[in-house]
Amino acid sequence: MRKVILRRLLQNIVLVVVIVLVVFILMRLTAGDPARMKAPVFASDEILQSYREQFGTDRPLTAQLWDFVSGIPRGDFGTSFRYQQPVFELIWQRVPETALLAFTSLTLALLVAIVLGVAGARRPGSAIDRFGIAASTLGQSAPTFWVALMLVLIFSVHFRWFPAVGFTGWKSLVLPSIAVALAVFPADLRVLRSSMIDTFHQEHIRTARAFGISNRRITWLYAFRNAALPLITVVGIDLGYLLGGTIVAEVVFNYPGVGQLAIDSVNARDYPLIQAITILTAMVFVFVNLGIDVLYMVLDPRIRIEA
Amino acid sequence: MELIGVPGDIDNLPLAPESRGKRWREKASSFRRREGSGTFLAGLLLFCVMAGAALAAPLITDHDPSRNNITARLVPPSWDWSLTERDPKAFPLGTDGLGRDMLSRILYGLRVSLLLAFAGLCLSMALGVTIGMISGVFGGRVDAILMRLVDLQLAFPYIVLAMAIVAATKTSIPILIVLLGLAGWVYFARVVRGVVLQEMQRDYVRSAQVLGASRWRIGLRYVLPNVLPAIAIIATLQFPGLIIFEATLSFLGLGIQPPTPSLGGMMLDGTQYIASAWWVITLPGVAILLVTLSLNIISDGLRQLLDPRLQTA
Repeated sequence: MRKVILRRLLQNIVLVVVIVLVVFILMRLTAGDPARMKAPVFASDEILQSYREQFGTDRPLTAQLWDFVSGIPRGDFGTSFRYQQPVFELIWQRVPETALLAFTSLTLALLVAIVLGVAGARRPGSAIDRFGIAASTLGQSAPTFWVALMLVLIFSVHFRWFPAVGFTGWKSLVLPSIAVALAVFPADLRVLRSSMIDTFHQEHIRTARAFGISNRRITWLYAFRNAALPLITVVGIDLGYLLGGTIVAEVVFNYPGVGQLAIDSVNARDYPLIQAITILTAMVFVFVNLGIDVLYMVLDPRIRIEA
Repeated sequence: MELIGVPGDIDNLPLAPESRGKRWREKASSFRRREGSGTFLAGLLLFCVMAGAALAAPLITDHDPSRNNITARLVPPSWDWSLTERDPKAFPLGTDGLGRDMLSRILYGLRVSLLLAFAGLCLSMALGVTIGMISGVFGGRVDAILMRLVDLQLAFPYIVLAMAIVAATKTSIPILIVLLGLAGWVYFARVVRGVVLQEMQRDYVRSAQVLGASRWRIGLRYVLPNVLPAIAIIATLQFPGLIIFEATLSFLGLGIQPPTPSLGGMMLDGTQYIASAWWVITLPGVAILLVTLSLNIISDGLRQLLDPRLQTA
């Protein structure tokens, strides 16, 4: 097993290196001259040149690439054009808020998925099952930013229960979490439901029933523990939705997280910052998924043997 | 012996003159009895209504979607749909902050959304199906390289990257279509590859190989038709995703630029009036929701009709 994990780790490190290269090249291809953006419109060539020297964009591309790549292991992702601060610091300051939002959203989504998915799988076709499926179709169909806006309209503007913008405490987390969770839970629910239905048809469940073990015990102790395995993989996929969702929710709620920083830096054409956010989020995604694969191997002996 | 008959004989019985219509009716009723057909038809109906309204926008509304009217700013919806007497001051869905008619803006915006997402869908389908087919038919090293490409794409925080590219290149429709196309191809590639790998084990492929058919011929002539149901399912699943993606980019101010009406852009404008004019942010979203919902319902129905095994994909 150790060998497999090592090989996966190596593969993922290669993947991260390729990601770094692709992002760097894409940024250089698509971005204009950042000096021209920063400098006044009628700036002379000397001023532009001095900006280029300050940003380091006057040197050949290969030198810039080398500087950038060699800085990453030291945690140096470059300096923000806009804030004149190391971008890593800027991002790091925002991580706790975004992580908190992502965590509460994921918890909420899993809770809803487990309650509705298990209840639906116990009686496929029942009212609660159809409600779960309908809710997940609706959740898939609604754009997250629109859901967020509707929540603001109803619960902040109309009822004045929750703040509409900023981060002032747990109350600020409620609406953004619901908006993001609504985008995340449909995939969880569908996977859990079908895997629960499969598990209920297996022989060990039938045996347990024959032994007269209570329905609740069978559901949670026997079936859920098996059926929850695929859910772990889906959480890895959820990460993508969480990321997209938190960006949008942070914009709507003016929530001070990494997503907000990403949008600000895009609007200000702050390329070192955008570059670093893209690469760091990709790294989180890659290594969380690696962790999930390893966890899966630890939890499911069948996969360990196959590997 | 003759009494038992072969099932195929029923089809070869001499047909009565009126039988063509009857046959069609029989086919239709057997379709209706299949699981998922009801869902599929309901979704299709809703989608046709929405897409039809978007395409027939000039027939439905007389208002110019981009003409300002300072005297009629933020008029609330009147819900007056009487189309017989077209009153230039009647705004069934109200007006926005510049006094533009919401109904015509939503219909024209929906047009743009649907066309953009459809173009993106075609692009990602072409890209994904080609890559998935090559990966599945040729296998081996080609497959390994292409699947690493899929991993690479999946690892990207695509929306951040798309935001950065759009911001850098100054939004244009072709770039948006390319971005939408690149957003969706992975899912086509993955599913197509999976189905092709299964099909390659079948006897008909073996027979074709024995007869000396080339890999291209096997892939295109024999395997591809069997992959079509899966492609249809993924397409109906991806289409609403691309519509939402485009609306999100426009809402962030990075998609379609004014004066072209776009649903995301309308809601971005609407955030200014969130406390006073609920309809400006609500109604464009309802339009998107109805379209994406109809497509997701179609997709669910198709899945039940075509391939129950794909349930969780």
